[in-house]
Amino acid sequence: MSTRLANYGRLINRAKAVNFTFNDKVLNGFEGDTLAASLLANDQMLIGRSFKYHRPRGVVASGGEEPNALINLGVEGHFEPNARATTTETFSGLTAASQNHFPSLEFDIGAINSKLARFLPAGFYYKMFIHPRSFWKHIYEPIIRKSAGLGKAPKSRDADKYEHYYHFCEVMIVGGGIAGLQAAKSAAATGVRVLLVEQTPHWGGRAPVDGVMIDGMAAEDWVAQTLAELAARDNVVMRNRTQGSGVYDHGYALAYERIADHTPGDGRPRHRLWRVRCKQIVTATGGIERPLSFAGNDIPGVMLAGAVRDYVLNYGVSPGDRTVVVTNNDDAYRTALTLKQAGLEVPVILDARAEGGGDLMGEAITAGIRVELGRGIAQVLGGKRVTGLQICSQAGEGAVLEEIGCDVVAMSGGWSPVVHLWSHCGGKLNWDADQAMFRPDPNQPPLSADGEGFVRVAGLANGHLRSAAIIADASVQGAAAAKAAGGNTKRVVLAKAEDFEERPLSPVWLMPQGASYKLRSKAWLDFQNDVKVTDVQLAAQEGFESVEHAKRYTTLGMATDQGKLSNINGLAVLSKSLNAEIPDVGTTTFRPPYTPISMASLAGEARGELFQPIRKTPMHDWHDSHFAEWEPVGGWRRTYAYVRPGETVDQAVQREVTNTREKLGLLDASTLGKIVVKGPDAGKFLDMMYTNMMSNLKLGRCRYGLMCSENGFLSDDGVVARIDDQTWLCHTTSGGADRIHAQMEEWLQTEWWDWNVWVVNITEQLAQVAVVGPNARKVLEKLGGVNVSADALPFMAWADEKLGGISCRVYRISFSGELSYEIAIPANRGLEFWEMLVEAGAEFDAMPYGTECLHIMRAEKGFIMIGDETDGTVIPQDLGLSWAVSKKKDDFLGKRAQQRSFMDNDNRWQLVGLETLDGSVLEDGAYAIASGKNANGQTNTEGRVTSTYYSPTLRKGIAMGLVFHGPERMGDILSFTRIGAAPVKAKIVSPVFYDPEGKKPNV
Amino acid sequence: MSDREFQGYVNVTQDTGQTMFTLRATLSSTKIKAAIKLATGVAVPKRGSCHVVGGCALAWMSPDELLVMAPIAQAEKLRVSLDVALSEEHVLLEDVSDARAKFILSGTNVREVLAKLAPMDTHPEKFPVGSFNRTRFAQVAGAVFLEQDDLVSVICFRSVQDYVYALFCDAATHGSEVLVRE
Amino acid sequence: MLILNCPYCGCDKDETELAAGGEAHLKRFGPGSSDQDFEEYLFERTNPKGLHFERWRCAFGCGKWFHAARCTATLEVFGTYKAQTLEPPKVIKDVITTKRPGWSWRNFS
Repeated sequence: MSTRLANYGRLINRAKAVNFTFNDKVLNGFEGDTLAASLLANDQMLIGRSFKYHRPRGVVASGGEEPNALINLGVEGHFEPNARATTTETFSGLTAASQNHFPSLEFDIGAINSKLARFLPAGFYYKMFIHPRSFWKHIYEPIIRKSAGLGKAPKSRDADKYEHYYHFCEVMIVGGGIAGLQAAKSAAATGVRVLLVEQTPHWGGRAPVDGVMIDGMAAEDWVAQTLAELAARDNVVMRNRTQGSGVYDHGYALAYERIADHTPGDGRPRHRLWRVRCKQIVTATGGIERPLSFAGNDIPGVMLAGAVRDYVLNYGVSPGDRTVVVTNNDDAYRTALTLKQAGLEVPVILDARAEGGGDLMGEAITAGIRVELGRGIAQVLGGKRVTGLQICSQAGEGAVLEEIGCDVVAMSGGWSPVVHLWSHCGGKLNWDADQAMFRPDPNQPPLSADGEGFVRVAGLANGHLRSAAIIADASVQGAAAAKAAGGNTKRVVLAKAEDFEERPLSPVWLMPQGASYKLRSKAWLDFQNDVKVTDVQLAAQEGFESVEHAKRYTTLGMATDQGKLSNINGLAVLSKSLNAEIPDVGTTTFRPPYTPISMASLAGEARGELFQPIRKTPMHDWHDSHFAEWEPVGGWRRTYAYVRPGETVDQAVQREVTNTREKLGLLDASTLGKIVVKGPDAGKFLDMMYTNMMSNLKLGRCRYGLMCSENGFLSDDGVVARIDDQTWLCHTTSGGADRIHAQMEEWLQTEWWDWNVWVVNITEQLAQVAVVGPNARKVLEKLGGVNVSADALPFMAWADEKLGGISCRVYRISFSGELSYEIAIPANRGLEFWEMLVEAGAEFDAMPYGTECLHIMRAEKGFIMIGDETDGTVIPQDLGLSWAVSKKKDDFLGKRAQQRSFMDNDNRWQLVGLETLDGSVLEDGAYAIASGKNANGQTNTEGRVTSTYYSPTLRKGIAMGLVFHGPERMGDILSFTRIGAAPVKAKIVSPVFYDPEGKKPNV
Repeated sequence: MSDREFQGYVNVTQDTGQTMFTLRATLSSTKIKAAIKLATGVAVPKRGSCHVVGGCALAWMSPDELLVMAPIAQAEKLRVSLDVALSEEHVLLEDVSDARAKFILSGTNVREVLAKLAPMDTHPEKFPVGSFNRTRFAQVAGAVFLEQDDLVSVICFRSVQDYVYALFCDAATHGSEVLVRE
Repeated sequence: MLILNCPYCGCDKDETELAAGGEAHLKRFGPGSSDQDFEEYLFERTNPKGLHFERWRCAFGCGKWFHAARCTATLEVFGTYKAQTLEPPKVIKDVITTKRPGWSWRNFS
């Protein structure tokens, strides 16, 4: 059993006990524990079930590489699935639950899959679920969906706060082990700004556990001294609990700070995403120990040798009383010695190397530990916990030489450098055959904006396994990075570490090397996704020779740990099956983030009220308190209709239309784009921007204008007013203001930069109100101060005036077909002016109206709407707007395009009005059915509906549409599609349904 | 619009007492520069900065655009003097007082709060007092003027002022200190 | 996430502050041009692996358009320059010649 030791535990505070629950059981741990350490201290080795076969899973590792110890962490708003117990700090009140089992962790029905394993080989899903086709949707998918996923999906909104932080520095160092610290020291000495991040709460990495000596000091003391030195410098920022998660182009990196995971509810943000821009990055990310592939290597109690040592020394936790160490290298001997020193039993060290190890092996033998050379494990015994193992010769096929009782197996297949961050942005790898590892190829680094490498790797991550080499490498890499980032490297900071003499490892990809199928089919590569040695061999046999294909076919390395333990072993098995060398098979590409990071940290502040900016007009709050039903328009919120209590939205719209037509309506038109164009060449410029002539517009007058793209398509429309000799004011659509302003700037900056024209977007400077209806003039006259008579201010004229004491500009324009004024006032007085109008208008039955009422009124008049009648494929000539396309001008945007044969063509669909024979409302977007079928066997069409409404004025459905030869076919009856119903007949009519003579606005 | 105020580890207040003009003009012209100086009493700033003299501020928006700021009481006088001084030049002066919102961040950690929302290097050597930078705050455009080491003006569009105010309040919340430069 | 130096602001801008605008140095063809010239102007774009000249706008900054010469394969930036020019300035061409000897792009070399 696993338990807490009386001694050891350099990271825990025994004076501070903490209570937490696991599967509703109250357990205790110490401050400084990881949850995995706390669970082991409570003899909770079994922590979860594997994905496919539901096999019992226990803690394997002690850090971010852990594939097994995944838990549902927290409750409700603080719930998170698939949290790694090895990187979760234990705190008082922590709630954890095991995953992927039913009904309980101890007894899980899904474990039946394990018995069916031979029917569930690699690629099972692909082979099984493809036939019959029809089964997928109703049978297979629902079942698979039910069994998918390890943890539970969160049900509550995330209750925590998250944020981003943009950080700039010259050198970023990832990893706070001795290599990272030394690299930071070395870089900081040059005076450049250094950011040093470490993913765990502790600095120093593995060195204190491994008993490393630096500059004559124990690693722990050297780390403390170095930290103090770094902290004293004002050019160094250090963050623990912060993982360098991803490296991207041009020195961009993401660091993931877990501020309050261990102190929930203390008012701090839970996570902070550091968006770092630096010139150089040094990754000192250390290494990950590889498991060995032997039968039963997934039984709880089989752990990485380094992790066993970590639990004893860092947390004072013994994973078990009797630990067999199995290794192909010298490092695992440290675990045996540590255990022995802690008074625990090490029955035997199985060293797969016939020649054994160096100094450390000597120490083990001296300590009285039995060492067996050239031996391996044939099979581990046990179910939910290791009970013993069978020893065999590594060279053989697994014949059992001896059976031995134990409750822990500490395995070590050697160390792999953590090259992930080097690889994220394109750094290439070399295979180092002597050390059996991929290590960064310094000649093929990720490149930055200057074409030079911007990532360097230091220490173990760079393939240096011994502390002397690690610390020397770190000095060099830190200084080199600083130099490349502009630092002054006259003074180089050095340090020296001492090492034991070690013998090289001997690669062991399968144990024993000739293992029988029976053993191989129990030798796990990927513990979380249940991928065995035989699965990878099957993939190779079935032709999945590319490592990327084999990965997807077997799901090797596709679990939440992304193959941190399984990658190299799986690759080696694959290459052996293909009879190829490991570097020829290559490795899968490492993608950021290094370990999963919270979605909420990526969102940062962008949630709730801050999810998306909403543009508000000066009268927004008034609308809100007057029953506005909102509609999003170009980032704005506009009132769709003011829905009074007891009304439906439709009823409100009808009421607004009728009232405006008969009495008086008020519209908040502040969102309309307003762009001032001024200069000696402004007229010439506007003649290019608009299809019609703007240079000859008279002072004091307005003109409706169209804008096309260079491709000829209609892109925006609006009223232009001539302000003075050199100044025009262009109104754009609400959604088009920023786009048209940007487009004007673009042409002025990049094509006609010698033209003297200035453009300013004053959209938000002005509030604009449309006063519409037969009573419009009356209410303005009541406000007083302006002569709005037909003579003083005729249709399509404007004037600068004062209304009710507020300076304003009054435009006599109409988008409704009624007598109408649009009044622009400074935005700060918009609300005041609006309220004044509402009050003064009361006696004239003034009512505010929304965008739907506006749409209906313009449709009744046959006015087009950008985005309804246009969709990026429609030209002005399609819409009966040829009158607004100048024939006199030599050039304007879109002119050349409109001369192309398929544009200058009578066969294009053209705008008409449509009325159903039964008075019903046509469906939006409905097609007019033509005879016959097209080449694809689809029914031919000859037109489509672009706008369709119920007209409360005419008391029937009205529509506009584009129809083949439409204007020549007045009175023709067409059939229009309906979804889920028979087609409906409609007659082609004039698009002007209301006041065709245009008398109403001109009074 | 009433002035809002938020007390966090950096304080956020709205300043509605400013008038603002956009001035489009060729700023490389010495004649135009002299005219602007004459009208405002402020020398045209170099790129990336803002000059303030006697309450009137000129901020560099682009090679051909200045943002002119002054207390509202000076608005009319300022407009007239600019109109007069630049009457012979090809320029465009527009009142944008109502199109903008201005917030003041104050406190020792103003740089840090800015760095939560804007992708800009706020280190004192890279962003010294007097700097003016156009950037984005989370999802919207804005400008930052570092008036003093512990005082920042933030300018954004009027329509998104509620969003920007909420952004800075959120970033300045007690407990969310980053404390990079303790 | 690229960093490009805005030649107007005179400082580095993050990609999130910029807007990409496609290929640079297009020649506008208007009324009177042949169908082929017009088609090429509107639609034909080079999409090289390697050296490319692009338009960018300092969208959240000064609002100005500028050009960037960069390598689409390695993302190396050879330089940025103001948009009011018909061809890349000599200083940019010289940098490219140093880094990519023998280069050519459309009719530039």
